Amino acid sequence: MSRTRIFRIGGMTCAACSNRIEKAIGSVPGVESVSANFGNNTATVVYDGSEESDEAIAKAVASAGYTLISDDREKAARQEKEAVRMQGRDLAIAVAFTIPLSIIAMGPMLGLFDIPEGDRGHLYYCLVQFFLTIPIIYAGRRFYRKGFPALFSRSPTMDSLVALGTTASMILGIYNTYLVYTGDLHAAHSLSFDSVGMIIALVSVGKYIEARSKSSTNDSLRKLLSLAADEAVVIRDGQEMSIPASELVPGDIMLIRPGDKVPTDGTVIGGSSSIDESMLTGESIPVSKKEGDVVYGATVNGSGSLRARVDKTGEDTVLFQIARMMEMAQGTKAPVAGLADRVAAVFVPVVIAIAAVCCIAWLIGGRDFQFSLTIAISVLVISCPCALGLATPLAIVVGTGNGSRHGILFKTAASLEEASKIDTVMLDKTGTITLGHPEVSSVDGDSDLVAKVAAAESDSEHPLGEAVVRYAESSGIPIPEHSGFESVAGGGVRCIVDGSKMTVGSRRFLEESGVAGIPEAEDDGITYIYAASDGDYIGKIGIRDPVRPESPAAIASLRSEGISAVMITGDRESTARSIASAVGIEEYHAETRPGDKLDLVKRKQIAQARVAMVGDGINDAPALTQADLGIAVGSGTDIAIESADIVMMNDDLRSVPAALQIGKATIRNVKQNLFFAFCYNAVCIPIAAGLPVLLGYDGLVSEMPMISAMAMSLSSISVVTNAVRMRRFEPKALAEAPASSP
Amino acid sequence: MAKTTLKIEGMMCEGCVGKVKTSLEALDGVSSVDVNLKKGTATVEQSGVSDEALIGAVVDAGFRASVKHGLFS
Repeated sequence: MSRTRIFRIGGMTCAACSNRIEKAIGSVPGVESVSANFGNNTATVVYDGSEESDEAIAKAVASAGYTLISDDREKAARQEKEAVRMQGRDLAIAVAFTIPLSIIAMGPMLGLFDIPEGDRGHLYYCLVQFFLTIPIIYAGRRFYRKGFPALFSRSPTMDSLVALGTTASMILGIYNTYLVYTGDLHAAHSLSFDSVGMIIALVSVGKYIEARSKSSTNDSLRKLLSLAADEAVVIRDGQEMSIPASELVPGDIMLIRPGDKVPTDGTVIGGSSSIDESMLTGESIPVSKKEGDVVYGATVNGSGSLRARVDKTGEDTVLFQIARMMEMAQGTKAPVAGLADRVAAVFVPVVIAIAAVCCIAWLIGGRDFQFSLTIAISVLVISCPCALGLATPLAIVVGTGNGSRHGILFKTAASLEEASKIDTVMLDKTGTITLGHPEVSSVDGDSDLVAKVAAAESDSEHPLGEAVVRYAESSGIPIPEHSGFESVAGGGVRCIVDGSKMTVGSRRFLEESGVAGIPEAEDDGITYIYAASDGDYIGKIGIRDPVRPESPAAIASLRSEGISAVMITGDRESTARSIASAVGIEEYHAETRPGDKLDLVKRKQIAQARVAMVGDGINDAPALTQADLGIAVGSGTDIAIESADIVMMNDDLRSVPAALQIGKATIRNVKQNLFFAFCYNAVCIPIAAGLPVLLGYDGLVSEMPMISAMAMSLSSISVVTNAVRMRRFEPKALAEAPASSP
Repeated sequence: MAKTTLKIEGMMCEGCVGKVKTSLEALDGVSSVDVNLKKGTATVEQSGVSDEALIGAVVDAGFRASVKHGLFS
């Protein structure tokens, strides 16, 4: 039985990759035919369909240097962990063999011991080093697998530089071993096997740190979709029945009871209630729903019952659309090329050119082919700086460490780099600029207003009512007894307090209850609870989502760095305006839907801005992913945290400017490190190229291994010292005292 | 018929080239697109397509773009 399956492949970077993948998969027993397509990163395989073959294919792809992207997210997470474990094993091998290799190679130079006497002794000395190098080469196999193809496709990376330098060292070492064998014992001083070990071991340390610090897995989509309701109560053929939510079809009438999750998107045809839509909109205040209003799947019903007609199911629902937007944004987000790779892309061709020119120049200059080639290879050996592998990861680790010390979690190395480039910050209002839960902000009425309203609301589960009760409790106002409690969903409550009939709720609710004398609604961005006693209006309590105390300082800090701040919110215009002016934001967009945030980010990007998006809700997730840099509030939803590149663990908005400052400092440090990594080796290139011979110091050429070892040590020490120096970096945004509460 | 050259950031491989090309070609008024991976550019033959629309198509494909201004444009 043969079947066709499409595998998703990760790591394809060029046309040559698809050929290699076809070859790798084609060699698996049970595979009849295979065609790889680098355009959409897939391989279409006709095979026996057995599980053993699935595993064999995965292995074949992996050993060719690519990864099979599993549709099963948990499996993908396991595979990722396995990959990190393998890198750790390779690192251990490289280090375990490099230490004895270096001691043996450097011992005679440092005067620890002498090379064993005689022809045999020297030859054994060389061969021991050669055999110690072989497992190291094995541990560094991925540098060759990725580096050489990149080199041949004329876009060399750091891997290419490592592959090139170590191969050259290997050739030089074998050549000198051969010279020792033929009787030229002095060649035993010019072995370069230890360079191979040092380069691979140090670069592996860097790679391992990098792999570990990458976010282990991103299963945000699975989590998002798990929010959907499992069960739905529908009325079919006049019968109430409970069915799995996946079996709903448009036109079904669903019953939504108090506290239920709304099964899917629909239109209310009966009843009234308020629904907590915070998981979709991020807005904490529930939205009242009555006949004709639209309800969304996965939102949570309040205290009323609703009947609704199913409009959309499954993949057409708003929840799925958000999931799809996120998946698309994730799939299309281009990876940031590493700085070291960009430097390598220029450095490698230059070095190869220098090596070639030297070789030809010495040939023209009358030297024999052997000498000229040795010079060329020496140039390649010296030019591969082993500190190069440490330059980026070390700075990144220190930078992320500095971040976490300040409560800022950088999820990837790329996020630090992107943070250094940001010029526009978009902030979701609720839960980001504000605290995200309502509090009483004003009381307009008699001294016992709060007590009466709190009494009326003490059985209510409405967040606005809870805010009043909390306020009464924290202000030490005693809450009187009440009786005859009645809650009208989406409107307010009625009950008896101190013998008088209280009516508490929205303006419309009081008007409908026949209360007169209610003052005109003010357009001041505050939500009011109105109260009436025995039908007479007695006052109102203002409730709003308060601004975080540090928000104005955070916005000011952004502005002082020339970064513009933009506020986006699903909340209404008046609230948005008052919050924006309170924190000093000029540009704001109110009454936005989830898709609007994404579009706004795109619009800014089209206008050439480097956009950071700060948010906390599921509805922010697509915008967080589309933005050049997504920053999630730590107390936000899991989905937001997983779609973001940076998480503010301490919910301090000043972490946003601080994160950007740490990003800048880290990238500056990386650049300094790269300079230190390259400069010593670059200085040594003329020596390797044979300049001393020209000047009459023939002896210096045979000292090359010593000089090269020194350059490597010096550059490594400089890089480590410089990176560690950044541990003490204090972002300016956090150094300033937080502004007092507005 | 006018020629616009876009500088494109973030393309890693032929797959990226394909995405950029498809996205640009889908625009009304674009007659041909030539994407150069190594230079990180896309040359678009078009009539009446705004710079914003071109950049927008690239942003939609998941990359960043800006219009490269030559000496005579």
